[in-house]
Amino acid sequence: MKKDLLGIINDKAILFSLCILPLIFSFILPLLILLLGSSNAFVGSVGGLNEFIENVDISNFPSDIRNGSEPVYAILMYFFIPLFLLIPVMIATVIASSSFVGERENKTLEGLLYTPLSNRELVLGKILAAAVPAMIATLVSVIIYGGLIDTVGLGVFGRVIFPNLNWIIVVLLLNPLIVFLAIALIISVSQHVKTSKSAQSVAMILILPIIGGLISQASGALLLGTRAILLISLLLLIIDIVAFLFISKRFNREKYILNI
Amino acid sequence: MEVEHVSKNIGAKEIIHDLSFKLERGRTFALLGPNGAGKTTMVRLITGLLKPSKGQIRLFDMELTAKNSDILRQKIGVQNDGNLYEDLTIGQNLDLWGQLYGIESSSRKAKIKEILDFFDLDNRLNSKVGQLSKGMRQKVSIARAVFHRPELLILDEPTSGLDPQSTEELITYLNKLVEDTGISIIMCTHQLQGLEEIADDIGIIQHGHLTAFGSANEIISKEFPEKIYEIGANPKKKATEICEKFGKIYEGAQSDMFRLSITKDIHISEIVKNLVESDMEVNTVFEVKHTIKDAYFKIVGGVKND
Repeated sequence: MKKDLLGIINDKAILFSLCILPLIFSFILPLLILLLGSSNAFVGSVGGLNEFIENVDISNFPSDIRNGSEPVYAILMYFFIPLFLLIPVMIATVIASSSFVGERENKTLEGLLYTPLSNRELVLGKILAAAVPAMIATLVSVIIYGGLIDTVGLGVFGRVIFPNLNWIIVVLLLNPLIVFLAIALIISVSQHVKTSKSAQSVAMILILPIIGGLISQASGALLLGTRAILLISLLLLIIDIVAFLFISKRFNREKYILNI
Repeated sequence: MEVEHVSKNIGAKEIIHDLSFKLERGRTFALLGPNGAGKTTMVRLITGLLKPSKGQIRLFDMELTAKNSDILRQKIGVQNDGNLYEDLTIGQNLDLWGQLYGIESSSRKAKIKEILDFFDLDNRLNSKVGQLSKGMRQKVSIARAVFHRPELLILDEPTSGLDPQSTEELITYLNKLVEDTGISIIMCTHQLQGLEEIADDIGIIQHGHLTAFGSANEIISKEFPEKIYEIGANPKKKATEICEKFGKIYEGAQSDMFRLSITKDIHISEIVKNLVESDMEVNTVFEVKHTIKDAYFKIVGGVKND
């Protein structure tokens, strides 16, 4: 894992591309919404946002969020959550796609397989190597996002609104679990592809519908409440454990070496 | 290490065919063969990366299986070309390897210094591997393979890219390593020059078949059962006529000499006595020694570049 992290730090191009998406989601978009409000051309241009504002149930909102600030509150505290689920998944997908396949492309995989690491250790190491930078980037993004809402948003809401319990659970529990599942899926397909580009393409095809489904469920669950999010998290935890054990058991060194 | 009737098929192709040999503790075994002969596949089988289609491999008195291969690999060090992380420094590469083999962080730093001192790389600790010459990279990959003090060291073309001085130093180091630690070494190599000095046993593999196995002397004696002498005697014509009774005559290395190949059980002193008694002036007699290089080319065919 340490090797992969050092590799990312040393590669300025990867570092830069990993920072772009979080910067847009955590700073540029929320700043525009806070400055321009909810009834403007920008909000209208974001697909589904107007419908979301119209249909959102504000009865669960804190009692002091009133006087027309409800739509902005709904956008920042609910609509944005799936975007922050996407950040780590996208980053982890990029890193994980080149983990085992990248090692094979650089001809370093065989050296790694000669070590006494067990299949479980190898798979877990590679999952963490992709998950840790993805989670760090997400946490930094959330902190920037929260700081922005609580400072620039102070004039809109009259008080500090971030974070609430839902955000804490999503960031600290749901996010890592979704990321773990995404990376596990990528690693499982990477045995069957030859280059990191193909791994990335296959990963996108496989991961996005699954993650999209999970994210849309999560958005619904967020409006339903904390209990629903915890339930989804528990379900994901079980899926993650089963996926990890399955992938470790099926990890085939011969396939990686011979690329057959 | 014991390889017993091991075969390996990859797809429909048989890469290794019924291969058996044994390597005792503390011995050095050189595996020779042309490119594509099956040497790398053999290394992968020994390290448990590939599973034999037939036969079994025993390592450290245990049968190598999928279940225990991780534990057994702890005792093996493998050097092969280009498996270093090029974007990391030499120090980071070695440190990483130390961690993977469970070496305590407190002793890793000292060990890195010790090994870099030996390979004369102590001033390159913070150099990225990608910036090193091929020879230096080769040294780092060998340093990495021996870093955790394995019981079995597998070297794939260890002298490739090394200058003659570094090659000599490496051979001295490997001999010392075997002497001091009792380590066993398997070396896949094309370096035939001076191989007898380092390898206790030699195996020649061709198209997955082990076509020769034994000490250098055993292989040479088997391939060249006759003894060849270079003889310089005056007059040359009469001397060759006398010597024809004892064996085959060939051209000598110089025009005033000839070569005699003896397969009969006769000592050279008797032939010299014969020449002297026939009033020959015998100036030179020496045995033309065959090397493992000669034997190798005789076994695998091809042209020897002397």
